[in-house]
Amino acid sequence: MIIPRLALLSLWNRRGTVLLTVCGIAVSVALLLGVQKIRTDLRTGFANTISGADLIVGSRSGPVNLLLYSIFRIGDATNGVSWGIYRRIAAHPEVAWTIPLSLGDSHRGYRVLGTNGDYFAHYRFAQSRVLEFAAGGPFIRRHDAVLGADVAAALRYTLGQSITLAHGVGEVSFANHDDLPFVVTGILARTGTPADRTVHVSLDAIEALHAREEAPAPPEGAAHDEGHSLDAALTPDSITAFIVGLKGRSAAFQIQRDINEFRGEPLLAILPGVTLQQLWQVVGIAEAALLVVAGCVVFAGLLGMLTAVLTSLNERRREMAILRSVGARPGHVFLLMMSEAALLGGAGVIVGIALLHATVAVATPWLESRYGVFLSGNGITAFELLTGAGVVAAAVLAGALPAWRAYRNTLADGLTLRV
Amino acid sequence: MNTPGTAIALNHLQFGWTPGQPFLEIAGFTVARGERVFLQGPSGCGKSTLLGLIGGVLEPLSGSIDVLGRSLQAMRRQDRDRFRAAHIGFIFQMFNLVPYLSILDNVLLPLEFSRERRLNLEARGVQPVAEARRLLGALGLEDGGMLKRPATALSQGQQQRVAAARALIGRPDLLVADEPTSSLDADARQSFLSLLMQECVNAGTTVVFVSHDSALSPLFDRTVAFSSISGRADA
Repeated sequence: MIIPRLALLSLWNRRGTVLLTVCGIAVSVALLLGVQKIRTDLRTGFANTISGADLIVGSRSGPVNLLLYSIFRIGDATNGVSWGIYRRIAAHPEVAWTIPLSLGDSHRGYRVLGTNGDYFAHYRFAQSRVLEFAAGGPFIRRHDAVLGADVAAALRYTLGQSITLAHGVGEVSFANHDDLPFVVTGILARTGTPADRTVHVSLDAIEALHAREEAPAPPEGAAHDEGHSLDAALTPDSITAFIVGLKGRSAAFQIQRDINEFRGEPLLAILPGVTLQQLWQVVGIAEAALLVVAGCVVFAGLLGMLTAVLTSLNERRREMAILRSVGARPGHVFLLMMSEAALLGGAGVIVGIALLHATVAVATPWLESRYGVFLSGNGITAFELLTGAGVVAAAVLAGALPAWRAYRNTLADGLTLRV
Repeated sequence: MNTPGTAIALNHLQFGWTPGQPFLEIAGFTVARGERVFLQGPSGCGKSTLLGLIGGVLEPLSGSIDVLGRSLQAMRRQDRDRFRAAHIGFIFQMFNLVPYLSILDNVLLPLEFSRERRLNLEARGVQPVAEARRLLGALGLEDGGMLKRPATALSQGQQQRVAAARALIGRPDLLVADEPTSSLDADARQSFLSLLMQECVNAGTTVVFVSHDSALSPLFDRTVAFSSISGRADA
C-alpha cells in the first residue's frame, strides 16, 4: 500500500503542475461527455416531443423542414394548408383524429399556436403522456389563452391575466394587436417539449387577430365586418399544418401517398418517426465530427499528461534512487509511475464529470428557454462511467511509457544519487 | 547478531563497462561481522563503485562477492534487491531524504519495502514509530514535535541524522556509508559520527564507511586505504 501513498504524496508535492494536468484531462473529458450528452438528450428530447401521431401534413416543402416548423417550432412555414382540404382529410374514414396547427404569431418571443380542443385531447408526448394542466383548463372562448409552463414561469403570468399577441415571431414586434387582449385561462404542466414555450389559443382567435389586422382593406366583405367578427364563428382560410391520428397504423402509407399525390394543392404528408430518422442522418454527420473532435481533445489531454510526467522524470531521478536505496525494487518504481498516471487520469475524470454536471445544472434553464434544448437531469450515466473508465485505462496505458523509462533509469542509475 | 564470521568477502573482483578492460580490480577484501571498517581514498577512485558492487546493484565482470555468507552472483536480480533491502542500510553524501515525506515517514520507509526488517522489530517487541523516535534521539534529534514536519525543513546535518536513522531501522546487518559527513562542518561531523558508531556498536552492525577524510579513522576498528586493495587497469 506504500506505493499508491507515495504516488499521492509525490503528486501533492508537485501540485502546481499536477493541477494543470488534471484540468487538461478534466476539460477534455467534460467536453467529450458533454457532446455525447447533448447528442443523446437531443435525440430523446426530439423523439419524446411527439408520440402517437401517424402523419403530419403541411404544404409541400422538405419533410425535415415540415417536421421542424410544425412540431419543434424551429423555422417558419412557407405556405399553409387550405381549410377545405384539412376538413376533407379530417373526414376521411381511416382518420381517427386531427390536430390543426396555425403558427406565425408570437407573444414576447414565445410562439403562439392556434389550434382547437383536439390538441389537448389527442396530443401525446414522451411515449404516451397527455398534456396536463398545472392550473386552469383549455381555452373555451375566443380570447382565452393557455400558456406553456416556461412562458408562465418566465413572464410570471397567472390565471386571469390579460396579455396581447403580436404578429410575426420576433422578440419585439411593432405590430402588436394591442386592442385584442387575451385572458390566461390555463397553464400547462411542464412537458420538456416545445409546448412549454408556446402560447396556445383557438384557431378562431388567430383568425380574429388577422381579420382585425386586415380590416382596413377587407378582402372579403361580411366575415371581417367589425360589427359581427367577434361573435361570428370565424372559419380560417388556411392553417399551417395538422397532425393526423389514424384508426389503424396499416393505412398510414396509403394515406401518405394519397396526400402527397393530391393534385388540387401541393401537400406533403410525413411519418414523424421516419422523418426524425432522416433528420438524424443529416445531423449525425455533424455529431460524428463533434465526437471525433472531442475524442481528439481527450487524446491531447492525455498527451499533456504524458508530457508532464516525462518532463518530471529527470528531476525525479534522485527521488527514485533514494527510494531504491531504502529497498524499493525497480518494479516498485514502475508501479509508482503507473499509480501516478492512474491517479492523474482518475482525478481528471472525476473533475471532468463534476465539471460537466455543474455546467449542465447552470446552463439547463438558459438552454431550455433560449434554444428549447432539454437536457436530462442529473445522475451519472452508464456512458459517463464507461468513458471515465476508458480514459483512466488510456491514462494508465500512456503512463506505461514514463514508467518504463523510470524503470530503465533506475536500473542504470543504481544507488548513485545524481546531485 | 554479532556471530563470528564474515560480513563481506571479495575475491579477484573485476569490474568495468567494457569486457577485458576492467575499471576496478580488487584481489581480496574481507570485513568481519560486527567490524567497523573505514575505507579511505580520494574522490573518484572507485569507492562508490565498490559500494554498488557490495549492494548488488552493479555486477562484476569476474570474481566473487559474498555478503553475509551469501554469494551475490548466485542470486537473481530481484533476489539481490530483496536481500539488499533486508540486510543493508545505506547513507549517501547528501540529499538522502524523500522531500515529500515527513521526517518520521522517511525513517519508516525501509520497513515498507522489507518484511524482514519489520519482523526484526516485531521479534524484539518494538513498535516501528517508537524505534524511529529512539533512533532519531540516539542520533541527536530529540525534538518530538518536528517528526511530522517535512524532511526538507531540516538543516543538512539534521537530514544526515534522519538518513542514518532510516538506514539503521529494523536492524540491518550491514551499514554502508558513502561520504555521509562530507557536507557537514567539522564539529557536526564528529558528534554525528560518534553517535552513529555508538548505535552500530550497540546493535552489532557491520559498518563499511567510505571517505576521503582520514581524520575520521580513529572512530573505526580498522582503516583500509582504498589503494591498498584495488588495482586499476589503466593505472
